[in-house]
Amino acid sequence: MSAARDSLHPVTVTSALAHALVLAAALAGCGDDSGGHDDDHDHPDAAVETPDAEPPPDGAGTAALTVGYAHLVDGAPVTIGTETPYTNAAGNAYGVTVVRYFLSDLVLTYADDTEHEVAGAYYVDHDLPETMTRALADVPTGELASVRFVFGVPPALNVTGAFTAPPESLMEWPEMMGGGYHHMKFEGRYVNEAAEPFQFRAHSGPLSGTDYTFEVVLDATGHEVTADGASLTIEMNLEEWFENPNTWDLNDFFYTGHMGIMNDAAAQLSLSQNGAGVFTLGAP
Amino acid sequence: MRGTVALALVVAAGASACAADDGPPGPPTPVDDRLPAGFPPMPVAEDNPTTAEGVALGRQLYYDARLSPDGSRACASCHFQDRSFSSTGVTGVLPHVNLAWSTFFLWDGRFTGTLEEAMIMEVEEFFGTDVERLKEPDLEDMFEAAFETREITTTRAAYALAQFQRTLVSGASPFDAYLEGDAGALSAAERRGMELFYSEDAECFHCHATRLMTDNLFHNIGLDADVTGTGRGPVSGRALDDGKWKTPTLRNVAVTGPYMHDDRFETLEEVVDFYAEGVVDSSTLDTLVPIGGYGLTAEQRADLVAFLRALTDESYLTDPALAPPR
Repeated sequence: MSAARDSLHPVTVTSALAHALVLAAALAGCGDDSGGHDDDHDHPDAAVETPDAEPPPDGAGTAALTVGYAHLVDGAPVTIGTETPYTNAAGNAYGVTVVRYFLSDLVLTYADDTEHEVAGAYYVDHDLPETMTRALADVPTGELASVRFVFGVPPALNVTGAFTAPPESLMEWPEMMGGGYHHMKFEGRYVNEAAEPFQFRAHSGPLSGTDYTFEVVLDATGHEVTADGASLTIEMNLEEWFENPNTWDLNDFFYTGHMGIMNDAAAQLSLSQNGAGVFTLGAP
Repeated sequence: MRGTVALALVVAAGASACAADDGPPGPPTPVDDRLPAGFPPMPVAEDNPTTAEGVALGRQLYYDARLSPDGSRACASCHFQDRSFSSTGVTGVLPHVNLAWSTFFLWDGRFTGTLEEAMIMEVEEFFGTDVERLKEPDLEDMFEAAFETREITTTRAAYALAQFQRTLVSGASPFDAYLEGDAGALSAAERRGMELFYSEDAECFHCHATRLMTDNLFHNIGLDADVTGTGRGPVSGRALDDGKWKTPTLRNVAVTGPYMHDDRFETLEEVVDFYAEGVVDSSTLDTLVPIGGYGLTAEQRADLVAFLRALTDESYLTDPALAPPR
């Protein structure tokens, strides 16, 4: 590998190879995965999952689980468009145009402390209805205690070339910024301090050796996977990206000369910190 | 190594074997689709694997005016190799390059589906091909070699064209050489342009994505203030898609002008000037494009143009395997 090539790829050959092997193993498992892979999905890369999720405890049955994804602002389903109908904690009027992201390594924890894991990255795109519902098969029945997952693409999977088909492949993070894939593209426009509409692009991803993923744990008390199946809805409360603990005045992040935050480590950190409070689980 | 280079050798071998054999041709010869580094796997229809004989037939048809009922035109009448199989003098002709990865065709994506389906549309609707006109010994021989039958149908003609289209792969520009380790493949200005291209200061890479340099999706980049009923919207039936046009690949973009769906810009400099200071707001303006433009300096604009010119794959523009068959 040449110096020029190295300058574009901070990932070493050895680690890239290891990642590729891990990925190949995960992909190889996808073909016969009836547990968690959406067979009707048009995008074969959508769920890079291991099929051998832990077997259910002796005597326990399994059922289908549907995981839905909802995008809310102030408790109501988001309206996509170039209007600016919302107001964030800093008082900025804003609107939303794009919501795309990966959630990875979903783990269901049951009331009896057993776990069921569906490893791999799953892509959600508000504009692609087929990604907004994920069908999981062979999920153990029982009362749930919590649902946890990783926001974004974990480092072991976040290697350029891991996704070979759109839409997942279009989440690429430029090789000039380290390669891999975005965790999220959250876009819209806001009214800036000059009272003019200004586009914002809150894109998160790995930068300068920091991956900026984070784990989310949601209380699932009251949810149960019965023999008839079950459904869960993972809600992304979009306004939370701009508050708690860090209040985002969008004028500070998106302005002429600073159109986006992909190369802004401080903004990436701040956004990931706010991410802890972004997700909720829909009512049973 | 370009896929077409390896392919050309196989095609030549296959064609030569056919010529030496006076009996019925054997089964068509599978082609190993070797792709440029970094390219995604090429989708290939299960019922239309690429073969040397299929490619040879598709190439013949691409250049053969018998494809049209009155014998007046072929694909190559508007798609010229030295222009990356784009056109000149005909408005809104997208180049034929790396189409194997497309699922939307034409600027507004009115044709959606596989490459085979797109070629069927071309044969049956665009050309209105009369198969009787194709029933001549030379073509019947080629159909037999490609599909093991002398029966000519519009579907077989389309499938052959699809096979030839899968050889129209371009990925051997100086930029590719740079990515593959040749640090001297790009000049200083081209490298600065590349850095700008892959930054949010110019924001080219989100749409002109992957090594294909297109996301094959639709965007409103701010060409017009009133976008009602234009672009993708009338096709999808969604007002949110008004004013959106397909992202063209930037492969060989230096030779595919004029630019945009309506050819409104003659030069790359005009295109970059538009992005720098000409973007107008509208109801569906893409969030990736700042209202008013990116505000690039004169030097940045020149660097971007230099980089865009470094996306030219000269071997694609001159490859004899893609030229008119003898």
